[in-house]
Amino acid sequence: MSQHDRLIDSQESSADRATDSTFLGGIEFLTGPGATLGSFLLVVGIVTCVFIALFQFTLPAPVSDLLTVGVVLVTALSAGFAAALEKLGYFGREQETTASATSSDHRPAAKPWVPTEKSSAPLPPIINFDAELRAFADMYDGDLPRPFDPFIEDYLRLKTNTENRATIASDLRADLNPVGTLFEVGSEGDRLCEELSDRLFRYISTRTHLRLDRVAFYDEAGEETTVTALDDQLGRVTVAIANDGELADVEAVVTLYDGAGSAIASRTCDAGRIKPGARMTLSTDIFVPADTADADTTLRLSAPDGATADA
Amino acid sequence: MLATLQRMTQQTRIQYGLMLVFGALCILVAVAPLADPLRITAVGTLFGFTAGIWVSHLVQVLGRAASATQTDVAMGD
Repeated sequence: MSQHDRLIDSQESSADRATDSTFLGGIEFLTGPGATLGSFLLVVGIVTCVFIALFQFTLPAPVSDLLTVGVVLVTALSAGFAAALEKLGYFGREQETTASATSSDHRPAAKPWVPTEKSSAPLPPIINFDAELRAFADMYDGDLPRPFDPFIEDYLRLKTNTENRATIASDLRADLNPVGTLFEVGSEGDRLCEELSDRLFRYISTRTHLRLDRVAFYDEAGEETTVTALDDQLGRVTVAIANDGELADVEAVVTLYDGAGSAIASRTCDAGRIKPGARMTLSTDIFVPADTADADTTLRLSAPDGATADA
Repeated sequence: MLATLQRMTQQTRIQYGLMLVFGALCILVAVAPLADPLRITAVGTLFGFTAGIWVSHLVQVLGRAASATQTDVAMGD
């Protein structure tokens, strides 16, 4: 038998086992794991009927009646126990335990990092690891091994929370340790782990992830120039902003300084709300005084506790 | 089925096994071509064993359920 045949065979047998366990799972033992009050009473009723029929059809009159009364008494006693167990929450607890065990065993293998229950909030690119997890899944033929479980669980938490993402990101970085042990140093998997760890570290250690991609000054003719060349003229400044972090209300402040380093003018430009991963280019007119020697552009959050990113 | 059996405790497995054995014997003896006194005695005895194991099993399960509930309460505190 070739390896391919064995693979097909094992897939078929596992499918058979799945069908088998589904069918037989319905016939749970009365008080075993996964029992319900319904199955309990149903089986007790069936056994009662079998014994009563047996005694009535096979034994002579007084004895059969006595044994039938005995069967009915045992049934009544069983019903009493069932009621007591239900009161104690025994059946529900058993069912929950089985259900949770089943759900953890049968997590969808295709893309376990995609949330299924809660709606997800968009992740900033710096901590969006979907592509990396796809690469890991490809290494294992779509079935990620056990050491990935804590990482996947916390990654799902990260996707469905927006308020405490820094804390979850710390947990996620710790979850990378068992994953890292799966790969040899210098391998593709090891490189991906290092990259995830670095990005998580950057996310945790920096408050904002706003980035000034480019600042450029233009003269009235539309030609790019330096700020000092715009001597006592009205010019134009463009600011390209990238947001690698969370959703943020951003404004850009262009400050002009004289030769002594004193601020002599500034221009604030509201960029509005920038989505995670989005880029934006702002353009505004600016008058550059004659003694301008330098310019500085600062990004800040519109919120009162806004952080800054200098360029 | 096997997974269900494996999840059960050894005591429960033994109790179910004994109930199955005594219940099957009870049915076999009831339809066996034996003299009435012997048949009645054997059926009554085997049914008694089966019912006795069943009730004792239920008592045990109830005890476990009660202790589990107490543990839950303690953990809640």
